[in-house]
Amino acid sequence: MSGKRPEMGNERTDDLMEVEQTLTDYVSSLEGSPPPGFSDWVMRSVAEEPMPRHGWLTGFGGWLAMRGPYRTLAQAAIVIAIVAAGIGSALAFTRIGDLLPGSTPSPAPSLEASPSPSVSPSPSATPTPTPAPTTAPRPSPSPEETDDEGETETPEPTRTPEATETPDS
Amino acid sequence: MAVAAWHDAGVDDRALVDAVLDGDREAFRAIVDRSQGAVYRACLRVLGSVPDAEDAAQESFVTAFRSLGSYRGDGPLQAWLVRIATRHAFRRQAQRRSTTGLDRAVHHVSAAGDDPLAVTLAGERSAVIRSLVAALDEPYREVVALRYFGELTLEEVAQATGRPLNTIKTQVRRGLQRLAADVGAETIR
Repeated sequence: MSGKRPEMGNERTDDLMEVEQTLTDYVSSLEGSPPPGFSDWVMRSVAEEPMPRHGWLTGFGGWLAMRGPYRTLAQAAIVIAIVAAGIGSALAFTRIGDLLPGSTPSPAPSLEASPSPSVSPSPSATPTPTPAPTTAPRPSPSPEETDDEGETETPEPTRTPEATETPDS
Repeated sequence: MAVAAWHDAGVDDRALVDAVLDGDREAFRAIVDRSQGAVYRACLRVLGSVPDAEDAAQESFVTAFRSLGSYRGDGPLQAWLVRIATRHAFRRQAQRRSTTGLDRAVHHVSAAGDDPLAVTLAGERSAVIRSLVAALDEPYREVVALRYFGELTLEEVAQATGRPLNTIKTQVRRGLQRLAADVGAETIR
């Protein structure tokens, strides 16, 4: 097993060491290497595949190539989201344009007559007073205990790392 | 870059992956050449059969090629590939479980000598180990397989799975505990 020794802690029991040794013996009995020409075989298989793309392109390409019963629904939802985002940004851009100096020369009298309507859009044009996003990247104070990708059917190991000291056996 | 240059040991994993993602298909050959031994052995230890291990290893590389864009470079590329390989191997093992009796691995012969009884016993013992590991619940099966069948360090297992190191230590330990309970005195000892 390439001489690697397991790093398990100091309280290893004999049973665990025995199982570990059994696994090690088994692994060392099954050494081997792929047959000659294996990489050629793989490359022939890969030659039929489309070239992989970077992560974000993969996601978009995956959407384009989506199949299955929810294809239409999912694609419609994405299109609606894109259109909504476009409309929203266009509206925001228009409001920002109205606030820019010199962009609205004709309604100048109204600015003096009723300043209150022109004040109301200003919060959307100045998002800087919201520093909250800078603190958002820390979802939890103890990442070691919670970062488990949500794929553990038995969450107890991730919640109590020290539980190794007192195993259930 | 020329094909031979990709096989330079100084070229790191990220550069190879980026080259493939940028359209250089031959850069993937260097990835295969570097990792084929580890990938094949991991499959062989899960499956216990040379032909099945070869097929599973080949499928693993094709899967890796398709999803290369999702490799984030958090850990060694080989660990990422071995994780794909063990998943493929366990899936293949589950598919064939109902149709296979004694495994067809021939590697036990050398260890057991020429005694037919010893060869048979070694083969049965290996089959028991494989089936017990395969029967572990997740995530224990995965981490035990990566740690022992894939010969990854605990740090590499943590990087390949994206889990904290302490979580991996706990999961390996619990996996061994469950194996010890399952094995019993009569099967493995």
